[in-house]
Amino acid sequence: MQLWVWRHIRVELPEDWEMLQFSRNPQAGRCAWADRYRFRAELSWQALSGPPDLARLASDYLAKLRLDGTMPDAAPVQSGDWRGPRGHEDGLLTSRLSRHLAEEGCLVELVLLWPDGLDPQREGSILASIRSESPWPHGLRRWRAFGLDALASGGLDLVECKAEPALAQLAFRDARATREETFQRLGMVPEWLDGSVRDWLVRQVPRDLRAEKGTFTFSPPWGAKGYCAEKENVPFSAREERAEASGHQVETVEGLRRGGLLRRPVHHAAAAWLCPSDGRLYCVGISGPDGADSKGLAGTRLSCCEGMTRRD
Amino acid sequence: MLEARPVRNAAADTVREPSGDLGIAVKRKRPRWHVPPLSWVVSLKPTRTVRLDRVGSQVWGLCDGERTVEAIVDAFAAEHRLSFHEARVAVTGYLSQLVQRGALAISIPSRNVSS
Repeated sequence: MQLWVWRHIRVELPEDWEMLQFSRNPQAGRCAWADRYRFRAELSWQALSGPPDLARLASDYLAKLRLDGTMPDAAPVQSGDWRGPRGHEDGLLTSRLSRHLAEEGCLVELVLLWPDGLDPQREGSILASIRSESPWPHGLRRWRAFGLDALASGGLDLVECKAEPALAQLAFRDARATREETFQRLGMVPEWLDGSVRDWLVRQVPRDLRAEKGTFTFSPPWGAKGYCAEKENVPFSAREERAEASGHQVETVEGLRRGGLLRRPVHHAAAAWLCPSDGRLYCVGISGPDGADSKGLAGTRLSCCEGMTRRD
Repeated sequence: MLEARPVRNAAADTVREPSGDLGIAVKRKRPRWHVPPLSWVVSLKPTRTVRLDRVGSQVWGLCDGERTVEAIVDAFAAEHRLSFHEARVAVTGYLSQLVQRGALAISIPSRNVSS
């Protein structure tokens, strides 16, 4: 089973089910997963001000599906906190189960399609896996999708999500657009990476980024050997580092730039590395008015594989 | 769609270019208006060349008339370490372009056609 975390809701689904549709709206939206032949699951959410009368909702829904002929053989199902109908929709056995997630203040509905017949064990394990993903220390919120396992700062909205062949990207921003966090996973690296990961990372950061003044100490979070260097040549002069963690050579860069009309200082930190287990390039970038630390990005804010993961 | 088999245009010629790209020369249908005396004045190339980059060349190489789209997607995914749906989107994009330009045809199993 593979873990997905979206809109602070976690769900474990079979390995070969991939997310093909998603919503960014935290108030109401849906995500849908498919195996290689057809859609298999859909998780939708609707924010509510209070707990609903789920028994009443389920019975009304059942009556509606029977009445309008959408699911003529609809039968009520209850599994733990989950309630809803199960029957044939367009000839395909379908489960439509709902529950209230109190921590998230939303009603969630899980739709499962069973083209090869009902698998009660699989349905039970999927239902049991759905729960709220609590905030991490320091208010960080976890998102796990498209091979990215990211921790974004609390209070940020998911403003962009790209899921294209060999490109997955999640971008978060606060309402005033002062803080931005971006997580990327890039594939088919030998086809497009000309040069080193460091060169690529330097090309991604703002051109006016400059090293911050003050003393600088470098202690890789994994306790491995590392080195730091301050690149003085123009135009790039932010601080760059390299460290190694579990076979991952992590390139980091951090610096300061002046943004906006008032030329306020904006701290920027980024890290990038190639994961030897899947051959993908991972990149995390954080910018904001408060100090951004590049040392805590790889493996903490973004993880790629078991070797890199320091949580769970 | 996954059961369909891409088949190369038998009249197409492939040329490996110095840059490493693959050129596929597809014969053009002569336009109706291209008749004497207009054809004495306006010359048209008898072929149109479709250029494929390295990745496109790999997709073209996998289209041997035997493999289904699903098999091509699986082979492409394994080659580039992509998930099935990532590879499916990339491969079907290439196949669609090649079909539009006349380099490929798609053979669909008969039971799909009848349904």
